[in-house]
Amino acid sequence: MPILGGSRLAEVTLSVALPYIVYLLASWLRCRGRAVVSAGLTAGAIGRVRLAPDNWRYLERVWGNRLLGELLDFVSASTLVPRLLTGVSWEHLWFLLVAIAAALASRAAVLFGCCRR
Amino acid sequence: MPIISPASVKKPAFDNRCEHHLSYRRLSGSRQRDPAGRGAVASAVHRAARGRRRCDRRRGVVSAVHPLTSAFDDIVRPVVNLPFNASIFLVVFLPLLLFHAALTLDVREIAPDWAPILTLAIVAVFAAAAAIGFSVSYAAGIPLTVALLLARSSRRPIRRRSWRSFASWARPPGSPDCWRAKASSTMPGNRALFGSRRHAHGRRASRLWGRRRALRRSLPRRVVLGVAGGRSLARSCRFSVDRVWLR
Repeated sequence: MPILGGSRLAEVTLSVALPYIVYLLASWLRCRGRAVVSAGLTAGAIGRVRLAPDNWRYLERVWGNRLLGELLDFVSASTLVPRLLTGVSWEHLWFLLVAIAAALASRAAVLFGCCRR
Repeated sequence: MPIISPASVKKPAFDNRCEHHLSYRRLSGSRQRDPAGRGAVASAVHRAARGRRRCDRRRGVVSAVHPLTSAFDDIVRPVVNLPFNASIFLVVFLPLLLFHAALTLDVREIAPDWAPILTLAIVAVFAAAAAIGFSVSYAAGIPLTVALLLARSSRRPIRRRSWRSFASWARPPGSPDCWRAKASSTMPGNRALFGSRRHAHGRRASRLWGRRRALRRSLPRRVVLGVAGGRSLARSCRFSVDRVWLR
């Protein structure tokens, strides 16, 4: 971080490149998602302290614009969905309702039975 | 009627096979005399275009008859038939999504509430997977191992943007504003409610602290049990799938 000399563009570039580096490195260890999340948490904790406040705000704004990329992700994923929907019938809706009900019930059980001991 | 005619789209072999598998229902339906359930005129039009449609029907897409309606096909084709794969999606977009979600989280803000967060992230995930697996296998009549795999793949861990939003939801309306004194202690029962730990007195406060301490003490055991149980569950699932389901 001090090598960059407070250049905010360099910091943003590094923060964009970091998840991919971590993802590729951690794919050897088969813990890609966890590694990326912990890298993000660490980077956030370090960046809030080490970076200049203006630079950190700039970085957050840039990542907010990266949300546009996530939007692209969801839109392009949803264009793949209609092919899957060609074989859907009404009974699948029933299965989906069952799954949703089971998920909600288990969440409620854990939330109100485990957390409120 | 869809206006896309992917008759001339060149696709890799695996994609064709996959789509053929997906449109199995459609294919078996179109073998009947009136595939789309249309009237006589429409089926006459259908018969006229049958030669052109034979390839399309295998893909499960009905092509347009009029040349005007298929004028935009070349433009729309890269959007509809994305040159993407699921693995490319995973590699390109998943790190971005996870990293962005983690970067905008403030660790110091959610650190005091690590016990419920970890409980929701680990115990709730396994509970939800088990519940979904058992109920779906009961409802749909598919084998339990397959249903558990489905539940395992479709589970969504509860990740909140900030634990504070949940805390403000759990707080009763009209509660004193001093609960918000510290950003991290908005949960009732925290230090902001009872002053510092030294000043926590009275039956309710001591019961609350005891409860929190008991929860905190039993948490490592529960985490270890949950991880070990989940590992063994996944391993037995994989084993039985390899041995039984895939023969």
